[in-house]
Amino acid sequence: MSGDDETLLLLSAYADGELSPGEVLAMERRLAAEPGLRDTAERLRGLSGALRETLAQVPVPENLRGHVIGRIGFADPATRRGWLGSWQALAATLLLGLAGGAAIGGGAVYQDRPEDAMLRTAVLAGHLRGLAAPQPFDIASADGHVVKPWFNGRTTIAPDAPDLAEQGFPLVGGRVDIVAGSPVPTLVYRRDRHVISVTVVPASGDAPTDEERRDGSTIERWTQGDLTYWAVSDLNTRDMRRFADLFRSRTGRPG
Amino acid sequence: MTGVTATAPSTTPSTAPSTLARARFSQLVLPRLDEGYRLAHWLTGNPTDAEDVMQEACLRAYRGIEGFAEGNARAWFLTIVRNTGYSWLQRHRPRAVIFAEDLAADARTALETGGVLIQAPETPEAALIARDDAGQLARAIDALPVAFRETLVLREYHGLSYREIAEVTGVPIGTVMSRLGRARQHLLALLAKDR
Repeated sequence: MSGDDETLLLLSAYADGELSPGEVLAMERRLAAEPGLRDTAERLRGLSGALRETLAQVPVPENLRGHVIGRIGFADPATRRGWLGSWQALAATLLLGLAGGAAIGGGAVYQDRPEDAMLRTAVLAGHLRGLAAPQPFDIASADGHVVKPWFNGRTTIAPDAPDLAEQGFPLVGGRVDIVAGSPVPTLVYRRDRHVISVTVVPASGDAPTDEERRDGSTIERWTQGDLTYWAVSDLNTRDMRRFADLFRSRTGRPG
Repeated sequence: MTGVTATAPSTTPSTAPSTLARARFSQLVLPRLDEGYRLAHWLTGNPTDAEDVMQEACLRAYRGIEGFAEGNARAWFLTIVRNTGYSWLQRHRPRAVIFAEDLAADARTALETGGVLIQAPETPEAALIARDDAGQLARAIDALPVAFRETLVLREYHGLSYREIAEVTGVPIGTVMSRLGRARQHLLALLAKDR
């Protein structure tokens, strides 16, 4: 194995956080001294990001869960006796999932009022501007109890910022967006390398729950109480729905 | 790990799975279908076979669920999917399993010509380019020998630690480290060549 080969192995394990403390020290010393090595480290990081996306892009068949449950329900003769009970339990789980999906997906044919279309455009513009800026937030904090009060005095709404880090959606901060001429709060979450903006505006009328894809971004909208939430990201639809579901379940009763 | 290699379906009704087994299956396996499916997909290379592998893996998991005591349910289930995928490969693509560990050839050429270590720094833009070339990257992953491919998927997609990957794939941690490093080296060299 050549020296370069070994260096790449070490660097790759370093990027994975799998080196011993002594090896980490040695590697960090080398990284500080060798610009070429830093470049390679950067390229490894870029590769990992691209890999994560590519690997996760494989679409899962929608009926997989149903097939698995069906297969198990029928394949095992022993389940026949207690068939009804188990089947119902499993089917209920399945149905819940379907209903959840339908509740969000059902509004796919959205009936936008003119002011909704304007809102949607403004919210998307805020998200894209955030991505174009050096960082997508004005205040960086993973703590909802820091982000929420930061909005006081800046916007008329100070939304709850639920902690979804354990579910893979860490809060990274907040920013002020301008929607319909007024400053409104936007919470910023992350999923791997994707940024999710959640812009919160006062609810007007009975805005439906819906979802739209536009220019590679997914926009989820829902209303809870007197607030309407717009979540925007280039995440895949499945993760986006999961995020919206989680967020809603943490901010009160589903609207 | 008991139950993982169990293949013969039990035909006697006397081995009635308890309500507990069903509850545990719903709790431990059903939430992991998506990630299991993606592992099966990257192992077999196509959706139809991936679904077959998943069906069988889930059946095995169901039968073995009472033997799974406590611990890492995720690694346990991924091990079953992985082993089922390997059995499938052995039946249908025996040559894929007999892999040659000659991955480094390409990468070494790149090293000798100054490929990997003398590249422009990776930037967020480059990551975007990589994303646009997702099809190309996917093909490059597919072309990796299966041992490298599964290690890469378990690390980059499933986010398992080296120790967990070693358990799932049944090799020493050092082998996990070297497979990962070499797979990445290979992919970096490929991407650099096409730029």
